[in-house]
Amino acid sequence: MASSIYQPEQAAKFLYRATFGPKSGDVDDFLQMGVEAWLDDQFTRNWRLHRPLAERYANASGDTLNENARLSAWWNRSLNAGDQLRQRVAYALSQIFVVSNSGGPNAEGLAEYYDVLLKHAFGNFRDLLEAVTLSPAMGKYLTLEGSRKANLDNNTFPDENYAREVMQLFSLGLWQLQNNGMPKLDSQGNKEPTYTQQDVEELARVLTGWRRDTYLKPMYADDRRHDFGEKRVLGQIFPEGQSPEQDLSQAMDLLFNHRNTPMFISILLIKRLTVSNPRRSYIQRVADVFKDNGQGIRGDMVAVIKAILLDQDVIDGKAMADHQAHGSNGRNFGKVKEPIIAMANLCRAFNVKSNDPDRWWDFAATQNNYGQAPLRAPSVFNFYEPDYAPKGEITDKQLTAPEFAILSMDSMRRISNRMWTMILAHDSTDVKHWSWNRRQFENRVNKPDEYIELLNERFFAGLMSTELAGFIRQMLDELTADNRNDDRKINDTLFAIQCSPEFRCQE
Amino acid sequence: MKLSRRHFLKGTAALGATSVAPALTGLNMAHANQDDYKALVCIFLFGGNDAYNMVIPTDDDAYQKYEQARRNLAIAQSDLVPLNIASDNGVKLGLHPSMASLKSAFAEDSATVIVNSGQLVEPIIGANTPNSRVPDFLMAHNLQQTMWQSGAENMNDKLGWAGRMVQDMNLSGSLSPLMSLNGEQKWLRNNHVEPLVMTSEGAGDYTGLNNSDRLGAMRRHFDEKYANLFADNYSTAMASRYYENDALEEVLTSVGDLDGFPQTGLGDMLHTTAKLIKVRNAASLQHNRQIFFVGLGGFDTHKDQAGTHAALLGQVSDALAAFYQEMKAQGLSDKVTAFTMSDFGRRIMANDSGTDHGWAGHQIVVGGAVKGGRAYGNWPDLTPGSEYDYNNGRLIPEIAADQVNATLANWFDYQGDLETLFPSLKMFPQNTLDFI
Repeated sequence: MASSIYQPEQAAKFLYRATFGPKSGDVDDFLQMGVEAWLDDQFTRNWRLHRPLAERYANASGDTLNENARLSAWWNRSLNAGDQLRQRVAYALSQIFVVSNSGGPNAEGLAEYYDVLLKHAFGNFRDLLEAVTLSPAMGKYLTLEGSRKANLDNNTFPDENYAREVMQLFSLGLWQLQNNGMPKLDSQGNKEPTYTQQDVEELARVLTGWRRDTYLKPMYADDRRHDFGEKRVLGQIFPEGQSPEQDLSQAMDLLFNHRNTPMFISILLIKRLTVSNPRRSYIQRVADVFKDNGQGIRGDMVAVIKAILLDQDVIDGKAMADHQAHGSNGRNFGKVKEPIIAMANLCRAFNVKSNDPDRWWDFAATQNNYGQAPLRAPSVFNFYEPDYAPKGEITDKQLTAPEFAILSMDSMRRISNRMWTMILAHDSTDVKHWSWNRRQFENRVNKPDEYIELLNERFFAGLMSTELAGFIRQMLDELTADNRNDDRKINDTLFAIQCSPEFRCQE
Repeated sequence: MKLSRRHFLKGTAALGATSVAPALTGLNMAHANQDDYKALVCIFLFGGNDAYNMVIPTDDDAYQKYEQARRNLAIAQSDLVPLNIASDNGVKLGLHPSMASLKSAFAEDSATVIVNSGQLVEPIIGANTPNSRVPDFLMAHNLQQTMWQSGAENMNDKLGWAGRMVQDMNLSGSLSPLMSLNGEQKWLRNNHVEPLVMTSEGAGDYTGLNNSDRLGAMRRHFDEKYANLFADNYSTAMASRYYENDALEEVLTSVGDLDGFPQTGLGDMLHTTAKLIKVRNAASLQHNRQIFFVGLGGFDTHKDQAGTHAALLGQVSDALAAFYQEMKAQGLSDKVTAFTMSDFGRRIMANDSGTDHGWAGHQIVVGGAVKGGRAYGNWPDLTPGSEYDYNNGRLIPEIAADQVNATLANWFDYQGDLETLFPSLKMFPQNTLDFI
């Protein structure tokens, strides 16, 4: 983690990874502070929670806390909160510890769950895992809430849902891993499973007896429903007579200390924040920090996040070579932005404001228009699996680009339409909409050099390619030759900017 | 021994993929012959459908065993929808009461039930081999879904079986004949033609592209080459999605809404499917074979199952019944076969008010080509500890999903080697079944 960031270009790239996109002036501020001070500041900023804001929005319109209020709060916090790194990491965590409205808790429960992720984003992974496990929203979604010991009279058994997914998705993963995240192979060349069905059944017994009171506080133990017998999970004995709390605590320790957990979680966080195809050495460096932050502490999220954002591979722009080979490849560096991240980038570039003095409204049906929305995945496997690759070059090179999985014919069109709506919204007065101030653009649109400089600063934090700059310049010349008015010039060039692949991807 | 067999199977599969040239089956020559048309429609029930509460025995003996195993989750015998079918071992079958709308398709012998099917890599029931190998990660949703979509031995394959089949058959069209109305799906992946992924709303306008300058700007991005892998592939994807939308919008607006479809998620998907079938000969499609993926989530009913499951089954039944009626109206009932798949069946015993992940389930197949009037497969013994009891009420399938899938591929006139498409078939006495 010796690397540091002194160049504007590196600072811009860093801010795309660590926030919902740089706003005007952010790069200069960042360089003035220096990356260490910027990070320290972010790690110590106050939490900007979502549920209280969503509640305020609901009250302002006389509603209960519904999905519209919750997603409005998500947009406002993501676009405007000062604790950008925490907001960005919490969003990444929401795609690992997936809870969804689909078959899950109500909007209030979801908002509170997001706040649990925010609160633990910079804590210890052990506490995060326990907080997730005992959160009533997760209890509802993966049905741990209400799970009872077996009842032979009724022929019923403990619910295995959470026991299975906490191992498969939230800690160990399916396969035994090497330190660099590659599956371990046995002497016959086969991958080795991390757990068995028997482990699932036994862990389900361990986790019996938890119930929900409200969505606003962790689940509580009910001894009458708990299985007090001896259990054995992953080779470890859970002694007879342990309380639900004791059993749960031992289970959390077991999963937290499992040798797979650092690699499994590090890969997922890397893919959400920095690159789709990390080199194995990068994975190993991050996992090593997960195992020990340098002071003998395992699971220190602050150290892990720093390790992910400041790794030399990320600074140098190195990614995994083609065909999962060693070595590195600069072309393979980066990732596709998810639709709502691309939209958040655009809105921060515009510095959008809500037209309603009392609330932000959900930006036009987030789920329908972006193919995704926070805490609305179709299943616990998120909107896409971390190893998805689209057909063609990326598959052929055995690389991944998970975000491509939601870029369907339909979502590509709708994303384009929403961005266009945002471009047109500069003079919107619709109280349920957002708007932005176009004056700077109007002042410069007939001074091409200055205008392109403005576009570069606002939409790319200085990273716009010379090819795109040249193209926009040519566009302006042609629009001028055709006697188009300023409105057309601005609209057309902004449209061209937002749909450029370099705006929709991050390096 | 087991390991070497697995390696052998993997080795032959790989060899087959590289050494067998795409089979020119005559299908691609038959564009002009509209009678040759066929379509497969997969209805995926995401989350693991409790199939043992979807198809229920009506006979007293079998019903009592069911009721004994199910206790408070059992559907009352008097509420069952009786069908004119019995399993191979003579157990008369009925449907969950919320599925009454499918009764007429069964009465017309155009629907059947595949009894107790699931993921298998070799026979277990009746095989007299106590050490039979079982598939990896039974009861894990995503990996079991993967097996249904790629084949039991093909979990590590990047491609799906419908995709590989279409690739071998050299099927094409101006737009892909592989279509999902339910997101990107492994089932359709292949190396030949990209599946068309859409929602039930089909296609629509790019609102920003109502002038030539903006359209020109976007098209310039399509043609640009980028040094970065992601930007480069994004530009290609953006172009494909744009042109697909453009072509599809045109054909879909040429066909009006069809009658009789319920306004539910699945109803909307099957409605659009029926429209795409209706316009299959349009210039921008020219499909003489089509493959559709539609789906419905919510079947992971660990608790409060009764109401949830009834509503889900009702949605499946009503949408499927409407689809069957529409196919009859289009005169294509025997050219279009719809079938269900699900991650796995659920455990027979309950978790209090719900059910946990299991293994075997049943599938419903609907279409005029189906040999109805009977069900396929043996009704298993639901008693704890029976030969069907894998572990605490998780049932061992007797029919392999790959046998069912191979039967569908065969009906679709796939002329390639079924054992290459589904390597597990080598282990079974029959590659295909007789249900169609």
